[in-house]
Amino acid sequence: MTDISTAMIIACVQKVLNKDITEETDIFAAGVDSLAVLRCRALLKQQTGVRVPGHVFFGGRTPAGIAELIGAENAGR
Amino acid sequence: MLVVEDSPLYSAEFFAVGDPYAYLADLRAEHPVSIHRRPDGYEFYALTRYDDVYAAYIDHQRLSSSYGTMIDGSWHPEKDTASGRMLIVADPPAHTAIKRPVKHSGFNRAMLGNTGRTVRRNIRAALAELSVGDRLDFSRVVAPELPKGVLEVLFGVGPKDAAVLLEATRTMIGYRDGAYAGTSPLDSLVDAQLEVLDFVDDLIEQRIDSGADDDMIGYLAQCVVRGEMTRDVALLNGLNVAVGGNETTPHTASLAVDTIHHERAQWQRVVDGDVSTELATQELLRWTSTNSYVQRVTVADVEIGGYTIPANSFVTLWNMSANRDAAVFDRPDDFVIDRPDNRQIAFGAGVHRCIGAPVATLEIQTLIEELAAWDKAFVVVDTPRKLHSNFMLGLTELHVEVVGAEDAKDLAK
Repeated sequence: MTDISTAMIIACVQKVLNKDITEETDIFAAGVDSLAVLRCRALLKQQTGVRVPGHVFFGGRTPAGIAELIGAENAGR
Repeated sequence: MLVVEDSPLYSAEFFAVGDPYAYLADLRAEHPVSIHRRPDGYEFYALTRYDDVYAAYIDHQRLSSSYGTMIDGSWHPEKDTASGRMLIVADPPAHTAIKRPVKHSGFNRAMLGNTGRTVRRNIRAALAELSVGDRLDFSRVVAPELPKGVLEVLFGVGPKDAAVLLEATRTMIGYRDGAYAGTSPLDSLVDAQLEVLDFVDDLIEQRIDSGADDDMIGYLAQCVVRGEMTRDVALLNGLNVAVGGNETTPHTASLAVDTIHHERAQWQRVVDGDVSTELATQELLRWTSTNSYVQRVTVADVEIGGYTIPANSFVTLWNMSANRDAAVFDRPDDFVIDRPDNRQIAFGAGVHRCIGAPVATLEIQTLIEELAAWDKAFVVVDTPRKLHSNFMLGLTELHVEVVGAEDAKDLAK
């Protein structure tokens, strides 16, 4: 399964929100809502072919947290 | 004013196994306007009388929809993130601007006719599969055929895609109920919501590419192309219509079949043609009141029912209680299949009256027309399982057996 890195998540969120964030930014505090998650997911899928489940964004909250959760979910498979 | 700490009106459990109608009847009689609190600090005013509920619906300027229509839909001081962009959580003038294209494309006369024919075809096909002696869960086998037919027409999708979308919206609204959500309710809610958004967004993309505008999604997509609507607004309202259509009428249908079972002598008058299906439909809508309440927020002090509700308060309008108000309905707690002058308020009132009300009414009427004409009938064989929700009154299980119409007629005696 393709790895999705923290950097890739940062890039997608920045593109959708049109503002800079770091790997520790709470993306929801920064303005991400359900529609933004939808657009981020679409971008990540374009790049990797992987559809990241929505709850991973809400559970991870920061780019680093989200990447970690994706890793954990993959390890569990 | 009565203040109820830790109120049962918050409890999904209470609505599934308790007697919310009796509780609301007491409020209506003794405390028509009351305050309900939860240990975490959430608080709302509850309106239980028909006249007060109606007045609150009509006063849409002072009672805003922008904080969501469900308790917990959003938290003070945060508005719903779709606020002002999605019909159900928009106030005029934004509401008016969204309502026009949605109503024009989804709920015009031609669409209504087409929807009715599709729903009838689906119901007939489902009933035709059944033989005397069959046992089935009506809520899963037949009830979904109603919204499926609507989706096929409004969204321009095949029955299979419509079924997938139905499954996802069901999880969204019923996420507090283990029957739909499994063990991790919030994760299920989030994933289901994104699945619906993905589905609708794909459809919008297809319609933008093809230029087709002969269904509701296509029409909204062309609004996006012409720059009259943002894509997010088109998407959010596609979601709004899908959820609003899917998660209401199947419950009404299941409750209707359960009601027919208990009121078979009255139902026989519909079968015999002595009571019109229009009248019976209106009474079934009153009796089932599928959407139990909606929430508003006061943007100014509002006087209702002799009480002043201060600005910035959550207010809940209890449809299910208004529909049992003796000030408006004779014998309110009896099902009266030919009730005259039925002023049921199951769809709300005013500018936010359910945009799909004509379709929903048609769906239920079509169902009971087909049931009345069927040479068989359903008999409920097990205690129905109620949906665990204080917002939607519905059934997640309704086990029925198919019997011959003549046998059902004997049961009516």
